[in-house]
Amino acid sequence: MNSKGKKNYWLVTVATWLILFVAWQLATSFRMVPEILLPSPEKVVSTFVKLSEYGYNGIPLWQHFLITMARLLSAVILAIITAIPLGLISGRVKIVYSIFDSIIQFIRPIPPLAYYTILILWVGIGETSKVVLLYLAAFAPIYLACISGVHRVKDDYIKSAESLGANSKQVFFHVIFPSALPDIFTGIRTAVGMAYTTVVAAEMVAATYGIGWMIINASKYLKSDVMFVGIIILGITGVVLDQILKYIERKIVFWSGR
Amino acid sequence: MKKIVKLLTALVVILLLSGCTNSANDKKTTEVRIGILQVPNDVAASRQLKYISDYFDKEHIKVKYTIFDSGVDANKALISGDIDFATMGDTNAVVALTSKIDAKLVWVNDVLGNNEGLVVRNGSGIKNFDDLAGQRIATPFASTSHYSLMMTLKKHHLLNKVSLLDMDTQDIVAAWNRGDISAAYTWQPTLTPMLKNGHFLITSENLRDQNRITANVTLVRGGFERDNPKLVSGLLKQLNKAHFQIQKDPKVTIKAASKQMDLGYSEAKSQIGTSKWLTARQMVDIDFLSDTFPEQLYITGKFMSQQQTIDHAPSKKEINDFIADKYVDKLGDD
Repeated sequence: MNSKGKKNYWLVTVATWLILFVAWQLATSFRMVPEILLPSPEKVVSTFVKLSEYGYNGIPLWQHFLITMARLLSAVILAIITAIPLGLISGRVKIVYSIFDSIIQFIRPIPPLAYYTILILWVGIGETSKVVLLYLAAFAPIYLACISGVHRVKDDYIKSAESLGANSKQVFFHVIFPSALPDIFTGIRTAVGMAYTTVVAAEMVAATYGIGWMIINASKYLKSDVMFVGIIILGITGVVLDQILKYIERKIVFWSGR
Repeated sequence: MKKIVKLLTALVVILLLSGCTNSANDKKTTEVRIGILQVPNDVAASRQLKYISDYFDKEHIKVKYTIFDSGVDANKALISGDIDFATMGDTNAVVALTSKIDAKLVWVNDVLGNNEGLVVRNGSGIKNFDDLAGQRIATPFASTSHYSLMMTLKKHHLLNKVSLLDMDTQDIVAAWNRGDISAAYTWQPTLTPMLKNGHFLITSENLRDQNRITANVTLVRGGFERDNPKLVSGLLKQLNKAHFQIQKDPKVTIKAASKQMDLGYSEAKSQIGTSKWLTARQMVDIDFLSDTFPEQLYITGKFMSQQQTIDHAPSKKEINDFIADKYVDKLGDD
């Protein structure tokens, strides 16, 4: 019964996508929508093939893709190596928490685009401003997850470790860090998501490559087929990235959620 | 049962998708929406001199202005049906033409002169075109400035030797002030602050003398033009008045145009510079809309498609269908 139910839900998802695709196909082949608003599936596929072959604006498509991923990854890695220690310490040491938490709470809800123009004035139009923008978007989720991860460690665990003679360093690395790890992973996944949604914005100003830049540049010339290709690439990549992170999470923190 | 549900869903989706396009057309015209550029041009002048409002008041029609930084966004607004008229550079008009937007070119606002140009920073060591090699040059992509810059770079065999940055006009000023760029091809009012510590390497006036004309043009949304040809004529007549006025008495016109952006008189005067405001009569006399300008659009289209910025070069027939010169012809005969 249970497995049958599961199978049916999976079918519903497939059906939804099929229906969307058929609607897209019908709407374009009967010319119900002007091509500029909704290019046909064939056109999008042929544009994708053309872009893979000749590139966009003289730069191969895979290079556009790689530079976007490089910006994203360097920002996320930067966020991981700074936010995890700071978050874990903030979770344990009250004074550190009091210094940083309010600042991060203040920056966290601001839409990144709001301070992007300032960032450009401060650090210029090169790669730095783009990576910093994504970094700021990725920092808070990891930091907050670390704090809540530390707070969720059961006092009993710490006390038993201490009564067995563990010093504070050992408690931190052998009890607190592993217990917080599932939360940290959730934080990283959220962070990648946040940075990812900012990536097009980061490539809006003075970029000359990147998938986000390609979408924006194509919109200036009203090339909706190229915009669709870019958006679909970003969509698929987003899902794949999340699946990869989920996989790593399952491997490393295999005990979580059991 | 399931099949029916699926079919219904498909229908709803299709209706939703097709519904987006029709909503703007069906009502009676009570309002005309004009997309304007932040420049002291004929639209600004005839707006401030109340030519436009006097005319539309008589027709009991409200006028709504929307400011665009360049023709890029104006084109998007034309597609979505949010504006009826839009002033833009002719390169954006070519983009509109090749992407088959339902719109017509009805007016040439001004033929560009030294109100657009390539500025280089004083003391940057750039003395001639060859010095541009290896430099970062900013320009708003898809604009007339971008096109003029590309033509210039091509002529001096520099196309792959410089790195081009796509920026909005206000971002160009910020990057210039920070020292991120030492060259930019852009237009007024952005040029004024940059010329304080920079100078022109070439202007669109020089290009005009070399028979590479760029211009600002007005497009009308196809649906609006078909429903209200009278209103199109009416608006162009007001713009034409400003063109007469600036040739007869430039002071009045420039002063009016300056008001729109809170500029001083001399600022507005230098921002208009040597751009030419041809009257309908003058356009007819030199076969501007029937011969000179279509030829320039043809060259522009060919160049842009070579640069792969548009997917095909528009044919001469496409261009002639796109330019609705009957309005100017009629105005010129009056």
